[in-house]
Amino acid sequence: MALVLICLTACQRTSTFPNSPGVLPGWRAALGAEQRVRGFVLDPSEPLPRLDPRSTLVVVDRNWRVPEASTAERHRKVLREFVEKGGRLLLFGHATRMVHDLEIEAERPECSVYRWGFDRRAMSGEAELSMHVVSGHEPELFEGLTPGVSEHSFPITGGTPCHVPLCAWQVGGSKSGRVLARLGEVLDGEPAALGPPVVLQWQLGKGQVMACGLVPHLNHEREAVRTNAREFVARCADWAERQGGDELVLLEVLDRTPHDVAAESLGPPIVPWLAHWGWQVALYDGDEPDSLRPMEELVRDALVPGWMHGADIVELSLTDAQHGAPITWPESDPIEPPVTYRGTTPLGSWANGGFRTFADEAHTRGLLVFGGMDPLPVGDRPAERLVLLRKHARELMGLRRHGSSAWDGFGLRQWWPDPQGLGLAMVQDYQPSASLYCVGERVPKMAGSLRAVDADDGALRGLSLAGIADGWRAGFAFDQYPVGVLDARVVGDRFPGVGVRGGGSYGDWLVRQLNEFVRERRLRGGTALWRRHDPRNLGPDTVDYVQGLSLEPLRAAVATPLSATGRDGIRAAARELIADAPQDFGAAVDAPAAVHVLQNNWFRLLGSGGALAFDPRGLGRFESNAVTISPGFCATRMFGGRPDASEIKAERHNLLASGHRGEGDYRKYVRIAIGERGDGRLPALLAADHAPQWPAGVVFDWQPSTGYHELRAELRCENGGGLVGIFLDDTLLKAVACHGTGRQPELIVPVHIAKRGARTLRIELLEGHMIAIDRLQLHRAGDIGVEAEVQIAAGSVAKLLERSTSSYHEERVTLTAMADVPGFVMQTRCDKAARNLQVERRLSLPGYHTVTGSLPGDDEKARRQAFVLTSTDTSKPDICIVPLSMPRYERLRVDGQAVIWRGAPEPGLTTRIGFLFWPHGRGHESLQHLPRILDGIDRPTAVDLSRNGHMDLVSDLPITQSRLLHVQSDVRTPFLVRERGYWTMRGSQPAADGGVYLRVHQEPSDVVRIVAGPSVLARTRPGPGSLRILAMQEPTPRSVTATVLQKSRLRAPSVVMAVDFDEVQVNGKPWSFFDGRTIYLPDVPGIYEIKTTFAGARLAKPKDPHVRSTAAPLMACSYDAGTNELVFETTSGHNRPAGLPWTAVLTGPMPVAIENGEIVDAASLQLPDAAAQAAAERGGVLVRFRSGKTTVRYAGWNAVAGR
Amino acid sequence: MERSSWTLIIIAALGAAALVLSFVPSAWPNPLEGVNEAQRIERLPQLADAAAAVDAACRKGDAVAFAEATTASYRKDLEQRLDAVEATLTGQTLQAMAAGASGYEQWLAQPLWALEATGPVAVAAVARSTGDGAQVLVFDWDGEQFKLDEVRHVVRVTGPEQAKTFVRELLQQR
Repeated sequence: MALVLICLTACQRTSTFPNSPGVLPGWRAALGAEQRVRGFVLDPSEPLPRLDPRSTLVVVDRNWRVPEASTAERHRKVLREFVEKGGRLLLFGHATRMVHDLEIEAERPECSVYRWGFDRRAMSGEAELSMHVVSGHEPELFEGLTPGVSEHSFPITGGTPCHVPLCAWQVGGSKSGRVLARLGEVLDGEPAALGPPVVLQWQLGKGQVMACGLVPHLNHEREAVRTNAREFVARCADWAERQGGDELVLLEVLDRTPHDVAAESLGPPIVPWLAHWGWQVALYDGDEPDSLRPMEELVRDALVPGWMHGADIVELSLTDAQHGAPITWPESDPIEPPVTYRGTTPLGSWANGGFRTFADEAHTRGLLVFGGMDPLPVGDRPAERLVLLRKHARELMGLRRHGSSAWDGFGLRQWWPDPQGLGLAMVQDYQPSASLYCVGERVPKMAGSLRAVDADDGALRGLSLAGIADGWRAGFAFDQYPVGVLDARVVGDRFPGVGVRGGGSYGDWLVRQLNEFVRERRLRGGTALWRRHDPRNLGPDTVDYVQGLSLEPLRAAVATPLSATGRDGIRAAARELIADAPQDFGAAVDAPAAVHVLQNNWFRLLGSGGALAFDPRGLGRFESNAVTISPGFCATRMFGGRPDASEIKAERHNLLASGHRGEGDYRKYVRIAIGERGDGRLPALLAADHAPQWPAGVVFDWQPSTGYHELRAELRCENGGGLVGIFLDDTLLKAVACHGTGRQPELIVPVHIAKRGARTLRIELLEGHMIAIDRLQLHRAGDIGVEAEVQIAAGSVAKLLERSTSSYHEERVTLTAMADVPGFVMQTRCDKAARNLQVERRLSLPGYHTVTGSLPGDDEKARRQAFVLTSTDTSKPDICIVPLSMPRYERLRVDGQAVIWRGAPEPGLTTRIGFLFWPHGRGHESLQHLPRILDGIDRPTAVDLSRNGHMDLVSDLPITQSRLLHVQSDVRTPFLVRERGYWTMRGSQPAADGGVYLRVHQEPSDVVRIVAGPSVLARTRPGPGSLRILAMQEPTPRSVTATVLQKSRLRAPSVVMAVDFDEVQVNGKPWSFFDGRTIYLPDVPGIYEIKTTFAGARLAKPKDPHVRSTAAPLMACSYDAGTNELVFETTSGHNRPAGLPWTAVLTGPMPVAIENGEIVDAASLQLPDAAAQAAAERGGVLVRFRSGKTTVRYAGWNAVAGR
Repeated sequence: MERSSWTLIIIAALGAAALVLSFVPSAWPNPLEGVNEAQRIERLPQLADAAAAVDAACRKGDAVAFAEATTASYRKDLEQRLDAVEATLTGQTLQAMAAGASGYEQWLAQPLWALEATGPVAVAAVARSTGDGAQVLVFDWDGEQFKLDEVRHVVRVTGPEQAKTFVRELLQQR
């Protein structure tokens, strides 16, 4: 017996595999305990351990990102041998592709990302993916699984929205595998047609392979799916055991999430988190053929103001649905015009080279210029689209012919699957450094191009409101979608191209869109474009919001009403119009639309009386993971006053007293004066876009008394109803969905009037068909009117004004915040007060009842000095409460969970108190300096630039601070700012009283220098498209140390030197990638020491051959005069298909030979005439080359005579 | 005279009295309406009496008398205003309001700029002693007495002509 036991023990084999318990714990549990389970990470750089064919390898690739490389060479042979010798291989997700890599299957499966719920086809955005069994083989695999929509369909993964890996034979079928199941999809509850084979089995030698192109979701939120996923994995383990396996080995494929290095620690203290931002600018402003906006208008209204706010890109919308493209295309053109081409002749300032002049205006200022093509002005045939792109590239982007007037790329919203990158090739033949971005979830991929998030994909089926934000259609990874087109249309487009009309994108929605976009892309080369600078789409303050937000992406201070995202805002009301619309589409903030918020990346205050939330990470998340500091920050009580007997009156208006008016002869709005003579009849119907039959809205001119009024209305749906907005002046008070049939429930709209004078009350049908107003009354219902108003919309500083007026008092409360500063200043000013009136404000701060620090001399019963409140909850920050100025009889007192602020108001008295959030338990550290720091938030330091446009700033504070400067000079350029020795380009924010606001970072020992005005453009400075991504140290006209802070992705980072040069060295090595005075650098974050030399004009020495332009990621580029060779080499970090060569323009003579490349035949470029060809030749030599090292050889080069 | 004749006469007299009484209005028309300006001004004391009744009710802190001298609309607006300072309409509040105040009656002693009446409404506009526009008092005739309905301080009205225009517009709106 003992012998038998000894023999059995000897036969028990010892595993040869390493075991990391942290690898796929969920899978280990699901695989069951019948067999021994081990696991390790499959690292392509490491050899595999010895594989025992008695084992079963389970390779799980949970990455949704498609693998760029095939299975490592060193693994292929080992794995194939393992299977041939009888091993079992189970593959999940993208690991399915290994069957092709191991030459088990001849047809390569397509690895893709299955996405549903990221565009406007979706409603809830839910997808359920199942294995639809189509074979009778291996039925045990599916035993015990719960069927889905059919008895053969077993859901194992999905999501809402759905974003999962899929590896399946979508193009060509499997040659040697046995198909067990195909992909089943249920989208928003509706089954779709059967998909490609997704579970297959192969036999190789003595071994077996089984692959599932989906990754079972073991923790899916739906129990049926979760259980199926676990059961299926367990059945797979059973299958392996049946095939003779005695050990399961889990191999987890390495995580492919890119880990870009954040550049924050690289140097400059204030770094823009977004690499580029700019406007999409409409070329047309009407439907007529000649309604082109003058170029001067675009430069004046869009390009220059954007540039001053830090924009470094502009996209001109070249095409629209009415006009086609503004490029004349004669039949005689060497590029044959497509039959379906729709174009107009450019007129006015656009004729005779206007587009080139526009590019010059942009490039001079350091902006890149892109052309927007939405829609494409040709049909849907690929050949026509390619030709169209080629023609436009030739006309607008001919670098060799047009030099600095050449445009920098195109934005497309339509294309076709272009894995070869033919579209890019069309363009880079003329402008080698051009970029293309394809906008939208559904645009097929064009190889080599960038993908852009499209705000229009955020529209809900049946609605035109656009935009993607946190919680709504989010899920566009930064590395896949580095570019984003965000929606800034307050008024919808009449002809929106291939997108949706948009509209309703008020300030609060712009903040949410941009914050969501920037969060993941910060310092990772993101580009935001705003749709669109078009007078027809802009609201009265849209430009202020867009430019202010983009000036300080994510960190900007913002003051805005919740018109779009409030609980009775546009989006919440619009959601009610659509049956089964997802909740996330609608309200995002639990406060009325009329509430005005003040926020930056650290805090959000829903008006002085609303909730105060704090984001400890400073990323502007206030819905989830935020700390609620107060559910209702400040409540004000008045007492002690007596009513004014001279003013007691009831105010009531029946706005339908004059009856209704019939159809016809209307404009968009009807104006009616309340309480005055004239035709006071209301139109019988309101209809969207039906003027002159019916107006869209009625505007009441009104001279109200202050106080609280109520508008009571009864609306009736006609022909489907729609979305109704009630506005006071231009501020949305309430949006309401009018749907169904007949009369709607009574609508009551609070109308607070705190500002005296003429007001307008507007009722407008914003979207939909028709409504009627059956009853409309307005009456004063309360004595106190509280009204908020945005004083400074967004940017480095934002300011909110709240007026409160009653028959006893008039008061203004101003709330001011700065970008990236975790606090705000509250100022109250009394304009009028009844005798004996007393005011008590209660600052509700639950949990904050301990004063942990105060300045000397403070009286705890009547505080007038700065003090610190610390919460019992350690997740909450300390609150430093800093009285900046207090009238004699005002006091603060900490009373349990609140701070009581009591005083007797007198006309003219002002109180200012600062609130600053500081890490828990550390509020006392800098308390003595806070009064000066907070004082600067609403009273910025006024400075004047010297005559040569610069000034120096020092600080006597011993701590670092973010300072707001009010530069009172007339500044027409962005600033160059030197902080901590780094020069960066920075936009500024116009001040209402003249000058601009500029935020700087001041360290105690640092002398901050700011420069603005024409001298900025005469210095060594960041080049086009590099204004936001480059910092410079010790710039001189001939040398500079440049720090690339983040990737550009659109264009190689560049520096423009102040003077001419002949030769360049970067980091001590020769560098031959420059054009004129612009030196291009690798698009890789890092530090580059640049030195130039100039032989002098006297020698008349032309420059050595060099690369003038290319999109190739060059890591080395130098000309060797000894060998007459120009050698350049690309990095491997790019997504260019192997079959798509790069192009470059080289200056210098015609090369005699190119290793790894070729000279492009001039005839193939189809230039319009001989003059154009001659001009192109003067601009350099166009070459094509492949990735890797390229050597261009020259012969007979006479350096003195030139070519 | 026979007894039956007396009975008949008494019955006839009672019948006639009943007939006459049935045509007597239960509420008399607004005494300021339908008369010329001079007659209206002659009857201004009736408005002053109404204002005095309000003042008296306030001084005494008599909420019942105050309710009899003012309209519901007036009281509702006053309640709204008191609500703003966390007060309610009580006798004590009325007394507090009256303390130190000159009273409505005194306003009607100021130079009269306009006096108009339409339907049950009578409006008087007087110059404010402080020189900052007009004080407008609106009374409502309930068939038996004027009740104070509305009080306005109109800064933009600075003379009799403007006051007349304003008062007419006010009456049109009501």
